[in-house]
Amino acid sequence: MTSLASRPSVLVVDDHGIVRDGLIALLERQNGIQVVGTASSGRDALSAASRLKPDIITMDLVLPDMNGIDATERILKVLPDVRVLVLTACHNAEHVYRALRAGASGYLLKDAIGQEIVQAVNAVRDGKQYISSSVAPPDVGERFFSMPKSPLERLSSREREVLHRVVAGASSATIARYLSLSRKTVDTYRARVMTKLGVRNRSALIRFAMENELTEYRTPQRAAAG
Amino acid sequence: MAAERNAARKAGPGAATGSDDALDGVRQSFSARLVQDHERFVALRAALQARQVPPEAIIAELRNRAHKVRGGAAIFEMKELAATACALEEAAIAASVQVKRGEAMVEAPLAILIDFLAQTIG
Repeated sequence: MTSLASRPSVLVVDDHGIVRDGLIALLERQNGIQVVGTASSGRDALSAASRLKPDIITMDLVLPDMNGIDATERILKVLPDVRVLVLTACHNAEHVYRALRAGASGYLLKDAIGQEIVQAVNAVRDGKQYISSSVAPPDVGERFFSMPKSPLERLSSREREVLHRVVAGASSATIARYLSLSRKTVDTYRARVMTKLGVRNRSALIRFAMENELTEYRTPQRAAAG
Repeated sequence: MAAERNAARKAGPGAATGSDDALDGVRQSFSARLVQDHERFVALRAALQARQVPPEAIIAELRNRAHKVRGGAAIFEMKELAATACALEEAAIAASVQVKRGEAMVEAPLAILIDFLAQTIG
């Protein structure tokens, strides 16, 4: 969708309204960058990307409905020419790794945005890859693009499903009923997940998943304080 | 932190006529909302101390709210606020997998964030 004047069009994806507004202002402050739309969830991002066909998508990672990594992967399957620049507050090697494996062209931390957004947008627009200097120095950053599979990527889809339900607090019996499996089979899946992720107990498993799986930050029930 | 306080104190109505003005306007809106965030964090701390609500619910909201403050503060280059909110978010993540007394893990970072917000909003 790049115009005659090579003015890149950008779709901004973030679930926090004021952050979206801030990003739009920051991007449009730069000559030549045009924000063509916004989305506040992973699913919104899919439909907005299909409709608007932007050159670049700035993608948050923690989103309702569908996390930014899954959204990136699904968008790029349909629109392989779109460049996805992950823009997040999360600084975690697993996140960087998984985002890039999903096809993101760049990874920028929100606290570096003021200094790096133009550089990052220009780099991904030109078909290059960009990793924020606050995530890794350039020579290290390049290695992210050729790393072997991460522990989470080694999980099968069924193992990931079991992991999600364990993290949500479901017992093996409940998971077994839901997935129409025997409890023993579910326990086997749980054991395999723990082995693959290198954790020893349920607490460590949940912590690993919460830190790395990019689940939405749901409040179980509204706290009574107001 | 002085710059962050000054940024917050600049908050007020103003028409954004140019792109820099637009950014300033959004920054001011964010700063103005910190008052509500501060109030909510204070209320959540009181709820945590009263133990009348399951701590899991409060910790999850602390995590969610701290994450949003962290993201906004990062965008608007309020780095110290972003770091303070980040500390609470990480403590809430750790607390959410503790079987007992997970709430104790968030007490200090929550108090620090409340204090920091109080100073920021003046």
